[in-house]
Amino acid sequence: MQIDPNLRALNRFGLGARPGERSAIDARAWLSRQVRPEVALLRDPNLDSTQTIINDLVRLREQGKRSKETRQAVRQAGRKRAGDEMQAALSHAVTTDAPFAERLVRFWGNHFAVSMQSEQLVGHVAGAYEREAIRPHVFGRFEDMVLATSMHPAMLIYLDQVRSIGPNSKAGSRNGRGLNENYARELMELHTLGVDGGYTQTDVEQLALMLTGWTVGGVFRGQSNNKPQPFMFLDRVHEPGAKTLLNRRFAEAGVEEGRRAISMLCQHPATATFIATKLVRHFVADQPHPLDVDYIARVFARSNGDLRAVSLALIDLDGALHGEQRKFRTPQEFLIAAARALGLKTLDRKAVRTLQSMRHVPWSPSSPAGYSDTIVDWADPDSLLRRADLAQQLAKMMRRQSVDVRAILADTVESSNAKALADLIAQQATPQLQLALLVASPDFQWR
Amino acid sequence: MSSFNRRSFLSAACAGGLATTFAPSLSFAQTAGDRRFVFVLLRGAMDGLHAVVPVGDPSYRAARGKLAYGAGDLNPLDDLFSLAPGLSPLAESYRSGELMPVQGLAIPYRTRSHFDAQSILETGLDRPVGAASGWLNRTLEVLGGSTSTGIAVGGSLPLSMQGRVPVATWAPSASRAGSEGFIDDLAQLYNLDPVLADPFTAALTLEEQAMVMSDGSNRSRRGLAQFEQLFAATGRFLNAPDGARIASLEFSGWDTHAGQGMAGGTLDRRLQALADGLLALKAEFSAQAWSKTVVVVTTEFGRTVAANGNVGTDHGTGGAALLFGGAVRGGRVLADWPGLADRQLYEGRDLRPTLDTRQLLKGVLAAQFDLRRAELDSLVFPDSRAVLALGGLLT
Repeated sequence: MQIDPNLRALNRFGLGARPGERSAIDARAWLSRQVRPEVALLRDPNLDSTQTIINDLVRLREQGKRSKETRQAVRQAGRKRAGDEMQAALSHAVTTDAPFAERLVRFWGNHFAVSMQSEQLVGHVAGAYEREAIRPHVFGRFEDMVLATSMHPAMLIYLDQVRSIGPNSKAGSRNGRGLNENYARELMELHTLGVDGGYTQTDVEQLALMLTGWTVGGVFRGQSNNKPQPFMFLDRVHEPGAKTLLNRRFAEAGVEEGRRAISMLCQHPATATFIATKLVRHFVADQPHPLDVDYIARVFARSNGDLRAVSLALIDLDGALHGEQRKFRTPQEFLIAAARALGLKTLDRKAVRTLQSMRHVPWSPSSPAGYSDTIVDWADPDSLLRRADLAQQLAKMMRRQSVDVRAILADTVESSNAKALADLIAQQATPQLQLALLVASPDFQWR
Repeated sequence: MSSFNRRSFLSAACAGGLATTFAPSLSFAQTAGDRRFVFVLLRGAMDGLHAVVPVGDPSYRAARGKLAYGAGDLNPLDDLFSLAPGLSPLAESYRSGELMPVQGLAIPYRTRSHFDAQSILETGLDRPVGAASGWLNRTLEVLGGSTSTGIAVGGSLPLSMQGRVPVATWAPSASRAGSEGFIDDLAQLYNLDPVLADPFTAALTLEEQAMVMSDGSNRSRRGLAQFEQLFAATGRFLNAPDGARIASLEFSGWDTHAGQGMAGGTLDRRLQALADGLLALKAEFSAQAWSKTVVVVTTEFGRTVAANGNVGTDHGTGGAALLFGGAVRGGRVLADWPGLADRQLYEGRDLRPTLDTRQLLKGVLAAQFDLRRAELDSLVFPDSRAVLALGGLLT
């Protein structure tokens, strides 16, 4: 099979080729041009900031105290927000001219996963979380992204940081409630060092103590005097005294302790390797090559976690634009690539429902590890038939338009059986069925 | 379409890039053979006291209030317990020894969050941490991965089934009718793909095998009728000589905070659909295969003993489970009954748990698949040596 780096760049590093792009770009130039911080932002006047969302929540509650109607109203508002955010994010992915940046947004959003399945409140802010804590840092410093996620309500609520109370703090000694290690553990296991990163249960507890006091302002019980704000440090919840993390002693420093801990974790060599492994797995192969991982880890460590440098280094990997290995598209990647190939301009709520049947709704993984990035979790029998269903559904949306199926095929699909695919497509009775077969074909499931 | 063979699916899948990394000890592992296991998760916390009813407890009526049944409404099991009206279809299974209700069990960590509790139940760990694999998948792994097979039925791939071993999936779908020609053409293309050919073939074979509805389609049924459709399809998959051996099913809608109802009410109708579903599953088995089958039905936690202000119940602790199947040594209720008097309750409101869910699951897996203790204690349910498997559950 002849590998065309342009098509590889569009499909593997982008979100799926659109007709006409393949011959119009130069793979490397096209990719590196997208590595600019402002390109990764999503500005949509219809979407609210985290601050506005929190103000709304507090206002709703104040109006109705704790009545059933209030709870219902809050739930409804959350559902509407989540739906609007998903539609906006998916439509942006379908139409963006910087799909490499967008792919990285999705990668990092999944790395720092939050899930609306856990707590209703996460649904209100999950979209804003991606826009405010992930997007601004995709080509910035890794440490800044960790900090932004750690201080956002979506993460503070999802991983129970808001419930964690220093046992010897003023609040802790009064009501006997205690430490919650959930976020501290995942911050090391899933966000920075990785599960084999060399920390112990004692480190988890010490980090949890350092982070006590980090919470959302004005939203939770006993805090109604505080101004509603996305992040707040409550001194009366903070565990006093020195702590020891990964053999280093930290003097009592209030909110600074958490920041210093995060900074140390980000500079730890295990973090560079862990992040590099996940990136290479995402862009090149389910089983990352150790030399590729080493290279990316070196770039990460030397640049002090500069994600601009790291992103550019990914393009240079041997397997990136040329290798034989391929990645199986996740359901979201499949849906977005199909919509781009067909030239759709938006994805509606029906598309979001389709993602539900394929177990890949945005911001809804079943664990803080996020959605899987390997074929073993996505190429199951039922999912393959659902992709065929979705292909027919999308093709139906095109029935009133004239389409050049051959051009779409030539411009978007990298096929190892190009002739068989072209022949079978040509034999379909209508252009609509031709398009459906193209999108449903096994070749279209790979990137 | 060529005949579907699970073994070739999985081995080809491994060769083609779905390769899994097995722990070294697996080289001596057992295989599932002809023993079958079905795990049914009732998501939302099924009210165990409304299913396996402790009507003989002296405090029952007072503790339960508006949700207390009279003895005459129920199917008596022993001096203490009776089956809810909705579970009547299973009374005969109890008499014939194929049903063992379980009371007073709970996951090993106290939480009233659905999400955390389900996650613990499914990962098989003792606290809500971010494990990315489930105990069912790790059981498949211990059973050799490529020679044992799992299937998730109903459109989800629950956390319990996620992990290193690929599992099959099937769910009913409305949209496939009338597109047979299209699917045939697509199959030709899939046959050329070395990695995807087998799962696609499996999909078509499962579609054909399922067809449990009278109109000969796999159009998905709505509401309570889903139970029968999904259970019956599961029965077909597992009964097949070369079919899957471990299946997972899940049903939501058990979070009865309001208007829970009595006989024929909201919850009881759902229990009846569950009972009918279990019998529909059994109906698909040969006598021989059924004698080697066990179904575990459970939920993330129980509910409050007292009715709340909306004649419903809130999130509680100790809950109930059902063991059902030809391999079950039933005809008895398994319970170290904690009692319903105020002082006997957990935190003054919930049924006190007296059995760790893992004890039950370990007991079933050990007996059903001859799993060794070391595998159960460290691989399937990590760090659980102190959690003793229950003996004597199966024939």
